[in-house]
This record gives sequence, C-alpha cells and structure tokens, in this order.
Amino acid sequence: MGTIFNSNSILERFEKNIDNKDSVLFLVLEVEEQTDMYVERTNEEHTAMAIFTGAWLKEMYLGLLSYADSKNEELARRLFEQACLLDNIVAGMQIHPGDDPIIKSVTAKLEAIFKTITNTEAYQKGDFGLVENAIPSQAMTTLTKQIGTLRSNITQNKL
Amino acid sequence: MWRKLWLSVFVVGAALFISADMPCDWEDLKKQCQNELKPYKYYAFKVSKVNFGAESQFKEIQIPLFRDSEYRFIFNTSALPEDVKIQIWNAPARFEGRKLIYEAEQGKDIIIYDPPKTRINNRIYINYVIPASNKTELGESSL
Repeated sequence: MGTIFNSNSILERFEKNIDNKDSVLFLVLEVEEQTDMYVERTNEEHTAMAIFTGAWLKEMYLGLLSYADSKNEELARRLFEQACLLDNIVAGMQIHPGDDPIIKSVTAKLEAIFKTITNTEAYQKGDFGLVENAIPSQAMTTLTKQIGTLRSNITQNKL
Repeated sequence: MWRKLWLSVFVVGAALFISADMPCDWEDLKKQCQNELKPYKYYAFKVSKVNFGAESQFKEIQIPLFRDSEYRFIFNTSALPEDVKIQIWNAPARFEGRKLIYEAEQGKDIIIYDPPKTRINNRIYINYVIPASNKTELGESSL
C-alpha cells in the first residue's frame, strides 16, 4: 500500500498544497480512490476491514472522550448511530481469514462491546441507529470503559 | 476544518456488478461510470460479484453516509447476463415498516440516482434481488 503514497509524489503535493483546502481535498480523495482500487485488485478486503475497525475504534474513543467533557446530547445521538455499525464490523472481523490471535482477541472484545449496545432499550425496541436516540448514560459509562481499555490494549500491544 | 471540508463535498458512489461465472474487467466498468460523475467527486466504489443459481437470491449492502453531503449513486450492470433488481431502502430488511426510497428501472446498463437530501438519513440500504437462473444456459450463452 506504500506504493500509493510514493507514486506521483503524493506526499510532496500534499506538503505544497497544505494551505489550500480544495487541493488537499482532491489529494485526499485521490488517495482514497487509489487505496480502494488497490484493495480490490489484491483481494485485500479483509485488511481494509481491519483498518476500518481501527478507525471506528479511534473515532468512538475520541467521541466518548468529548462527550465526557461536554455532555452534548447531539453527540450522544451520533455516538449511538455509530455504535450501531458495530454489528457489521463484528461480522466482517469474524470472517477474517487465518487464525491471527490478535484479530480473534479484538473481535471477541468488539462482540462484548456490541452487547452493551444491544442491551439498551432503544436497540431492543428496534432502533438500529436509524432513530434519533442517544446512548443512555449507564451504557455510555460502560462503553467508554470498554472502548478505552481496548484502545489502550491495542496501542500498548497488550492483546 | 475537516468537518467543513467534508460538508462542501459532492460525493458519488459507484456499484459495479460482475457475474462470478464470467470473466470481467471491473476497472473498465468503473471508468465507464466516471463519465457520469461530474460535478460530483469520487467517494467510493464497490464491486458486487453475483453467483446466479437455481434459487433467487437477496443481497443487502449498508452504506453509511455523511449527513450534510449530497450524493449520486451510479450502478453499472453491463457485465451481468441477467437483470438484477436494485432497490434502495431507508432501513435494513429486518426493520419492520421500512420505506422504499428508490427502485431502478430494469434493462439499463448504467443507472444513475441522485437522492433528494430529504429522503436519506445517516445511511441507506441497497438491496439486490437476484433472479433464479439456469447456470448451464448462461454458460452456453456466454461462449
């Protein structure tokens, strides 16, 4: 995947245009398209799935930290919406080829995190992140702890 | 800054279909869609491989969306030997009372759909209804 960044001097173009919002946007979209093409050509969808899982975890971690500071209800609704994507993420990770113990460990922890969501009243009443519900405060506390722990385990290589 | 940047983006999703039984150049299919993209910018594409069989089939794909962006969806079905019904719903099939947002006209190779902003929320669900098909006959017709 490194070839994507080395080709056409993308990093150089990025540096030159860092102050130009439109140019940066074009470059981001170009990298995204080349990455998508690379994944499709090399049948690396499972790798893309693992990358997406990492991105989801990081975004949820930052969102939950922000909520802890602001108690912003709009943010709580968006977090519920994003948390409901976890069923697909777990399904994708479960079919990851091979027996990588780290993938298996992360998947098991994500399943436990998703239980926190499925245990909420909103989810059980049929809201899969499509209705404007916020994460209840008790579930928010549990999620913050679970996601914080998983993120720390990954970043500190303790899986 | 990123939030504002994304809000100003027009994005497009392209779905390319290939039959798993027949050789197909998906990169060429994608290029064909690029002509239909303007004035939108590339966002994502997805190649869906279809295995025709004796039983009809159903596939569901969930597409997360940015709330305040405008989208164009382009479907290229030209590599398929049979028509596949393409529907866009506001919720997954398991969700009672979901609403059909769009159903593509059949018989066209390239289908373009620009959903009104009021009709989509934070995600949509694309359903592919794949008809039953005799594999042997398809194999013969492709020779």
